[in-house]
Amino acid sequence: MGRGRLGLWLVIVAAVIVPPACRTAGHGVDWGWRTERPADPLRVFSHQGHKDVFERQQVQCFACHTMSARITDEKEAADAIRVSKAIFSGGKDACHTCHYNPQTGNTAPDRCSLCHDDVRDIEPANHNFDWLSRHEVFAKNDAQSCEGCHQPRYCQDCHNRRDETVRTYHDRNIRFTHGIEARANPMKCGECHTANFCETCHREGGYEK
Amino acid sequence: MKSSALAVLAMSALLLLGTDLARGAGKDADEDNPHAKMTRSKGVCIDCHTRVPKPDEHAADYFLVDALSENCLGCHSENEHPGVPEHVGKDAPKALPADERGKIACFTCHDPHPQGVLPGRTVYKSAVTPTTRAFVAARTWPPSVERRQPSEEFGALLRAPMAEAGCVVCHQDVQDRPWRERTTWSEAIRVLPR
Repeated sequence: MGRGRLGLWLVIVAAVIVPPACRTAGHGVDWGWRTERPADPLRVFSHQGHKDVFERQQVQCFACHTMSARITDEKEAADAIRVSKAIFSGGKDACHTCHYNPQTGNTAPDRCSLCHDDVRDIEPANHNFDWLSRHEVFAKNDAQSCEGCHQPRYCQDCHNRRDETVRTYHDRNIRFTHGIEARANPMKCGECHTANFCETCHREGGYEK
Repeated sequence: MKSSALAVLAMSALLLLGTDLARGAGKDADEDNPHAKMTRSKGVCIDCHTRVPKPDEHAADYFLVDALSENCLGCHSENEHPGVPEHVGKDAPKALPADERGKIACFTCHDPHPQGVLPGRTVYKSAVTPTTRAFVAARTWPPSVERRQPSEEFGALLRAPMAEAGCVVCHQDVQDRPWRERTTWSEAIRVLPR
């Protein structure tokens, strides 16, 4: 009897403690434990995640962890360690060989947000307030600089495409929901729009009426 | 007539001498490399050993002229090989030779003797796939780095076959899982019920 009651208590305690303590690995969970993606792109990398594609494509360890090179002018140990790390530790340039390679084209998914937690960290400094209206000058002056990150279709999506079902930035119902988004994070609107962009509609006697 | 014949002879002699000198210079450059010379001459042993080891004769330090960890540094600089700072000085695996302190040294990965010099020992060439070669060629490195191809005759003188085992001799545990699965408890965030 005593043993049965103890078992019942254990089941109750387990039912209360275990579910919230379970780590919920996927998205779409209401509560529990959530894992945040590491801010450092190199910590996002997983050997296991790349195993199949590397085996299929016959990419060996030495592709990223290259040793078939010679450091020519690093006589000091500290310099040699720094340069060795750049070549051997498979950092940014190794990832970008497949994931971001404007010269030869990408052979792997090219979304920056795949590894970079906050894409704004890698955006050029001029991509700030009112960039939407200012980007034309920069793009005409130095198109190559844009193509360092963006593919030509990125321009075409806004400037050439006429199929209205495709939206590159705002949802189709933005006209009805933008008030909520703008109040929640006005800075986000400011990345592309100036303040007078709001005023052109929300002036006295306009939509506020 | 005699003088022109003499001139032709003199020119031919000079040409032959020049060709011989040039060939000699090439040979000298090749012969400076004791690894290449090992397959042709036994005298080269004493470049690294205090005396020529006999078959089945083993010594803890292999009769080396210097300490195990220092022996290769007479000719090679440890600052020129990418990957050396990441390996040298770390504990050597049991399957591979270690220096006097049990740490990784040059010969942990490389065998200084080319294939055929020591009976019964297999020395492996680097076996790089075309995809890996193309990948490495596409990478951008600091200007002080020179791309290098291993010798066609000897390869990179590896102790383990690169393609099949290579890094995995020591690094069996690099199959790290995706970040969602490997996040530690301290990094996880508690999500409260709505």
